[in-house]
Amino acid sequence: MLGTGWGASEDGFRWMLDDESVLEIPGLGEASTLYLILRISPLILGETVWPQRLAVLVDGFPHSLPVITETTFVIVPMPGHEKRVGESVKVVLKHPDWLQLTTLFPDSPTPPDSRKISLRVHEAYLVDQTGSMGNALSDQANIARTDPRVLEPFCPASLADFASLGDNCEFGLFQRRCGVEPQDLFRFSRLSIETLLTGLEDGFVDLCNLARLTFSLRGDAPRREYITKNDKYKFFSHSGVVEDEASVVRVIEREIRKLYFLRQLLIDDLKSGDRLFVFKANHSASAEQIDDLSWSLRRWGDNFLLHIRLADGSVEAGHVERTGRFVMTGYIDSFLDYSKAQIPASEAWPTICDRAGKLWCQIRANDLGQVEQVALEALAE
Amino acid sequence: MIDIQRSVQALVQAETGTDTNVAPNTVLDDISGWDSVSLAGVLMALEEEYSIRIGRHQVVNLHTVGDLERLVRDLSLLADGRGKT
Repeated sequence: MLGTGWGASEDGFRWMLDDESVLEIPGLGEASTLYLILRISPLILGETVWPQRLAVLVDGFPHSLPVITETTFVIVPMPGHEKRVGESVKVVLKHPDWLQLTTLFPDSPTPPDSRKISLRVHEAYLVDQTGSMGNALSDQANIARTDPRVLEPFCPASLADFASLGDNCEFGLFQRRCGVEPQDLFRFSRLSIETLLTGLEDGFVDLCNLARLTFSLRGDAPRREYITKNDKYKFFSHSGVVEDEASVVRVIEREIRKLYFLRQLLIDDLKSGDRLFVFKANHSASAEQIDDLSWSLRRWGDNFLLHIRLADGSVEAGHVERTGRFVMTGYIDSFLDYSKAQIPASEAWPTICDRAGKLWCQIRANDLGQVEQVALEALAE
Repeated sequence: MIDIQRSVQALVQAETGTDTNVAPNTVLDDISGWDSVSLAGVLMALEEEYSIRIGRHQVVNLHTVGDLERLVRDLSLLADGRGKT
């Protein structure tokens, strides 16, 4: 039963309004352990997501405090049956970061929505610990109800979802030839797995530290290119600027800004788990190093690693397989020499990316199902 | 809003070192001298000028000068509007 703080039913969702929204769930009966699952998404203005805090209280006890930045399943345990028989359960959703469009758009020719809009609730349903649906909430709340085991569909991965971790420009240039230009720190950079691990450990905190940076010219005059080097991470990056195109001061200024911004995006990516990190090394990395790399990525979030290695005859080039909890391995016939990364790369790259993208989506969908199940089991204990 | 438009256009011109007029419908990739570094430079300058934070998901769909202007406008409104009645 909906209490205060709700908007009218719209196209598959309801807005939560004002500071809090209340659900009164009557007579849950003697069923085994029950959970309330809410599918919630944030307010989006134009293409801009508006992150909002959400606190869930069940009969006054707080149960979860997420910040909603994307479509999220919030799992809320209901009180034990001995308490709830014959009594209703009051669920209060506190959402203090609402927006009022009349404040944002005071000069709008058409009067904007004057409500204090918070988050969208798309679904609300009760499940018992086997995942079977409860019977009370959705119909009464007039909120869409679906099988709780049906998860959000993932879009097929695009090449822009792949983020290069080096060890050189080969993959970044392959993306360019495919017309994809993601803003990634390591697309046109050279660094080893050892220093990559160092950077993932400390968050590349000294990447833009002027004391650790040098700038040099590389290539044949008069078309020498400015190169940025960081001696802590043994990292060097192409500026894409040749000596007669800009002054040294301007190049340095641009490079530092670029590194700062791309580092910021890398940290975003590491925390979000929304990119598939690609690592290749002409000189094969050891299994231990790949394990370390995967672990380092996982320290930040649910990050998957696609390790590209040479096919050894037992598998064909283009083959992709899952080789660890968060690791996939793709096999390629050859890597370009480090001095010739500009020439077209192996024909196996598109096949690897296509297969890896599909496998990644499949793994994430399956794992999300398992994670939800584990969460339910953990809550049941 | 006009300030944002002027500011974005000036930053794009400064970043690419061009005097070419840019308009909201100008495609960034069509601007002479524009590259991924230019984008990083413009976004960083906008973050500083408007005290906003631009994240990965907001960078993905920037194709025109107008997209940049809208992004700054939306983020500025959000920054100004948080918790206001």
